[in-house]
Amino acid sequence: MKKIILLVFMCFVCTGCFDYQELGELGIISAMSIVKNEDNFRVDIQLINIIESGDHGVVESPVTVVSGEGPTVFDAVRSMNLRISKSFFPANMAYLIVDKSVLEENDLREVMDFFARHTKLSLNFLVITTTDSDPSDVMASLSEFNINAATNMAEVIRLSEKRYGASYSLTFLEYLKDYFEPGITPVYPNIYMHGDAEISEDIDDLKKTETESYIELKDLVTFDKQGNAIHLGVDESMGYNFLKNHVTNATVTSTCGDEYFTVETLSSKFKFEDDLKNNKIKIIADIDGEISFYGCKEDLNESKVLKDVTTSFENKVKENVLSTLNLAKQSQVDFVGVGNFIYKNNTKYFDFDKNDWDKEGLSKIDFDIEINANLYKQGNLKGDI
Amino acid sequence: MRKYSLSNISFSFILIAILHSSLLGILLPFMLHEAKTSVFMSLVYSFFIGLIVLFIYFKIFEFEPDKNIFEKMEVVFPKWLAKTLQFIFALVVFLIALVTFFRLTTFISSQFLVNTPNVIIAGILIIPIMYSLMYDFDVMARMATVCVFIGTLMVISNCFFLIGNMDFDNLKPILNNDFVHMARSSISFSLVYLIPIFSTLAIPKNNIIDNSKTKKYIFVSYVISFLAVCFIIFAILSVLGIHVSTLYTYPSYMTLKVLNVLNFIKNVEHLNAIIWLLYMTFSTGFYLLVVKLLFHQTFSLNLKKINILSLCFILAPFIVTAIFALPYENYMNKYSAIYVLLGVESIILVISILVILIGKVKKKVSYSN
Amino acid sequence: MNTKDILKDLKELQKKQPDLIIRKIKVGLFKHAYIVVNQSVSSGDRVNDFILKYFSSKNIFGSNVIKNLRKRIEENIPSINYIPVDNVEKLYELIFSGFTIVIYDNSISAYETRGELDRGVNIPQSEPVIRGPKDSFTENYNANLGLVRKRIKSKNLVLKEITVGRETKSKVGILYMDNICEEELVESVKSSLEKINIDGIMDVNNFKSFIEQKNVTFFPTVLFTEKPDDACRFLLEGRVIVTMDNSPSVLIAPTFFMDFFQNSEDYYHKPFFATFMRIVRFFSFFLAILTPAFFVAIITYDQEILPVSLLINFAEQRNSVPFPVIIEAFLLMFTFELLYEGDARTPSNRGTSLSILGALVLGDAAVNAGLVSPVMVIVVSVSAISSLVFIYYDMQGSIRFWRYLMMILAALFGIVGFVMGLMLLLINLCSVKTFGKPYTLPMMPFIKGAQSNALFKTEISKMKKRPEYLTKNIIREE
Repeated sequence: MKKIILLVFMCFVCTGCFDYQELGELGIISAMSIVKNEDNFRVDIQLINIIESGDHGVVESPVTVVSGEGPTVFDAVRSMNLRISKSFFPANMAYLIVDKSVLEENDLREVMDFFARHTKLSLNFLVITTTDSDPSDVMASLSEFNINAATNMAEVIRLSEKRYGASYSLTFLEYLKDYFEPGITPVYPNIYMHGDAEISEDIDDLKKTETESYIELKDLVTFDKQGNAIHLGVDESMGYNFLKNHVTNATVTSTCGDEYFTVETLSSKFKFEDDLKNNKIKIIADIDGEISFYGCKEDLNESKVLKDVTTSFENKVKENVLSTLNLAKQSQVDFVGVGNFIYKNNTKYFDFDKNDWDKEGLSKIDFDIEINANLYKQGNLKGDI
Repeated sequence: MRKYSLSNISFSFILIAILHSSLLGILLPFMLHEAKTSVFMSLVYSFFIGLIVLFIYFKIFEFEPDKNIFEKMEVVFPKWLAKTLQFIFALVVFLIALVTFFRLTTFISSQFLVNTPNVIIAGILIIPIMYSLMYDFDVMARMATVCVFIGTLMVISNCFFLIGNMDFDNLKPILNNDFVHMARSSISFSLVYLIPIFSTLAIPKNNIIDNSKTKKYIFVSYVISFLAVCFIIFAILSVLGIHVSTLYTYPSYMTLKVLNVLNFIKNVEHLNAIIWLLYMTFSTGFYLLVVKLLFHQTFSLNLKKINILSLCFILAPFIVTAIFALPYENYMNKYSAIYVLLGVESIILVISILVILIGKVKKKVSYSN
Repeated sequence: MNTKDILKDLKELQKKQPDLIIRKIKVGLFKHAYIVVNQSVSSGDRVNDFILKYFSSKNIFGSNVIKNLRKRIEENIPSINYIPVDNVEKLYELIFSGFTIVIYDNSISAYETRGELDRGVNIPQSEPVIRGPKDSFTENYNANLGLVRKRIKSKNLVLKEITVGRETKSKVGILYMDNICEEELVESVKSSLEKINIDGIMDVNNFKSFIEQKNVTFFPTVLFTEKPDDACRFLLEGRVIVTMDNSPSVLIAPTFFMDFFQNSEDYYHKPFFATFMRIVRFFSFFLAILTPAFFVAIITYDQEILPVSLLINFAEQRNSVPFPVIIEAFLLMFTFELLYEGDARTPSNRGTSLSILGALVLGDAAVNAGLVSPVMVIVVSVSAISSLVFIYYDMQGSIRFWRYLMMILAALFGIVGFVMGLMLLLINLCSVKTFGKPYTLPMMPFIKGAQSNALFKTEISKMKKRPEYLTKNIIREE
């Protein structure tokens, strides 16, 4: 009897722990990029090098870039094991670079399928694109302030969305939602490499006080069905973020005559309202702000001056929003989400399954924008020094 | 099995645990797939349909309060019919246990232990069930208290931390599906959700202390678990949106992947799986204990031999069937499979109604005599 | 009884046991009385002062000598027990219990002249205390009874005595409060003790296996204490105490799981502090069992739970270690067990070198040599320190078993194995019954009225009811 128990126990233990993975076997991925060359997917993976503690005097690069190719994304990822002995561990991935060449419907679905299906991935990593640089150069570049290059870039995108207002952090979950829901197209943050790619791969570049080449966030970009890139400038990006209510603190500079003043928004809320009998959509906004720089000649003590300043600010915001909406109409790509709003609130207005909203529906809509601003904080200087 | 006594609260915790265990993998994705965003309306309908089922449950619970369900059948039907119906009842409960265990095994094998063979996963999951089969219903009641405490704590903390990610626009458009789809999802939900509680009829009413208040406790636990389901579906829809959540087989698990506590604790969905592991292992053990009760009643042997018998005749076919059914995972997870489950579970409902009606008739006859 | 045969046997016995003294005293002109006493267990002063002195002081005539001795002892010296002896078995028992036997004619009588062979009332050795009474039970049966009786001066305190052990014939006393305790409980304790058929019992701890019900578990179901104030508090709640001759601790039945997280000091501190400490003890129980298993599961199966910086940090540390995580954990735990056992056996004047050695070996040298990683040392130390919170050695034994079992399960299956081990632990806890009551009272089944003294502690002035799962007489006030 005892022998049987021992035998059973040994079978249990000796069947091997199939999912057992030591920490040293993990290839901790910080970023990935996917490009399609003719028939094959090319995947570049940025792995973090685990430097042995106590190994002084050896200056190693903190990251390694490995690439793989294959007819499907899964094959491409597995082919990296021809070169490196670690297993694929994407749980802490900071971002994914999606190149223009992958944006055809079948290819994009395959990419999404791979990432949505993976058990170890969370849905919180960012999706970005580069229109002006090669994704593998971006992968290989080291950056300042943080040895872990990818986390730095991800943090830059997130913080600039909150502080600067002209950028947007697209998580994978948002990307899936924007792709599958009718009436909206995803908008990607666009990064580019400043300077020479070769210098950026060298760790010596990091030791200088002013690095020669680095990666930087450029603007927002979206793609139409043919794969052409539509760039959103600073004004349009700010308008886009206002419309989507992604803004926490944005800086808006407006004119008062020849001079400028800057307002920092403290809270903003944009709402759509439908007036679709007249093919109109009303956009109503409530913005609270603080005057952070006042360079105009008039004295802020007078109430009339404050009203004028407020009106000037409202007009500037309206301009930004209008330029965004016009860009959407012109390029026939609804990246703002007007179609999505109509789908959710008034389904019968347009049949999204049979007709193409971008070409047929968006051009018919007129927008009526009404902005109510309240600059209740004026700082403690009433005028220019 | 020896005489035991439970309190009202323990009984209601058993009910909550059983109700919650039928959600993962089959009910939630089916509801979202059928009813789309009008799932809240169909939930309202299923609440009222569920009240009808609960009414039937109350009637049979009160009938002959000192007997369990198998003894009630023996009172009402002639001997040969009673034995057959007892066997059918136990078989249906066995099937429900099998389906629950199967869903749990496929969940673990697809999300956690990806490379481990399914046989070994089934082996490790069966160990607590095997251990709990050695004991009686009062041990299960105490287990249920712990399971419900831990589970409720985790569900509440998850919902609390998910508030930042909720977008109420994703719940629109409400009422975008026709009545047929909503009716299908309501009826399937309320029946598949509620019928497993008929297995608690194995506990006679007189074993509960202070049993005049039991009805109130049962009703309150039904309402609470229903509200929990509403809350979970609300969280899934508002975080993921309808189009993304219908892509997945386990939408509640995917919602947890979004959790990001204080920008420091990420990827805690693996820890949250403890909820489903606890609830579903507990319910499987409970269902198998009901089958063991039948063994105890038909063969009057001492406790040790009953335990060995139950190991051979309950657990062995259970494991064998679970292991052989595993390669056919996609058949079980097809949405049409829920109709098969519905059909099988309605047998219990039919048997209960027969017991009540014939029991009433018999009582009237015996009073008039 | 044939005293001549008895005397002959006694004289034979004296050859084997030279500490047996048989004195022949002349009574009257022709008759003799025999005094039999065992020197090692009786007090020589008492024998001299009360018995021999009596015989030497008067000129005694014949037939009244025993009656007069008895009359004198009973009336004037009530501190000495008088027991008439009517069978031989009892005679030997009394001789070895320290009684002086007086044999005259055909009658045998015994007088108690027991010597003090214990260490007196001391501070409790195994349950150190800051506030509250600091006396403890001793090996003297009467002294133990006295320590209880001087705290509960009530006529409801009942004592039932039985003798256990064929050769040792130890006196066992069962104490309970008549108006509070349930009769079935007393009966079941008494009957399980009366069934003991063995040659000797050395200590009350040996009763564990006789009294414990049929539970398959490593958790302790009976409690032992050295402190009389604890024992009296349990008596007033409705529990039963078993005390034994030559044993400095008493056994308390029934015991529940929450009793191991309570301390007598909780009753002497403010309730907030007491609640806080109880919660800390409760968590340390789970910390001691679960920490190594959880760490092993996270490091080897579910690494995605860790944030990136921690992951890189751990990976750097583990790069230099040749063993897999589970082997490293077992190695460190085993070394800790060795240290713990060595510390328990070493006398205090040699302890310092052992602690230095332990600190050096475990802390510094093993890490620098690359045998273990620093984070594993921390994890194992946290688990070990948490288990030291429990003074009851039985609890530490059960913690050890569950800790190793959970480590094995977590190493094989990750978080899933961890949860399965947790379920096994919970089922085991829930299945234990002490004297017909569930072990996990008052948490499961949840009794609202008893929560004021389970995990949380309220003010003593608000604790007006006894626990209702122990007794029906729950009102404490008049």
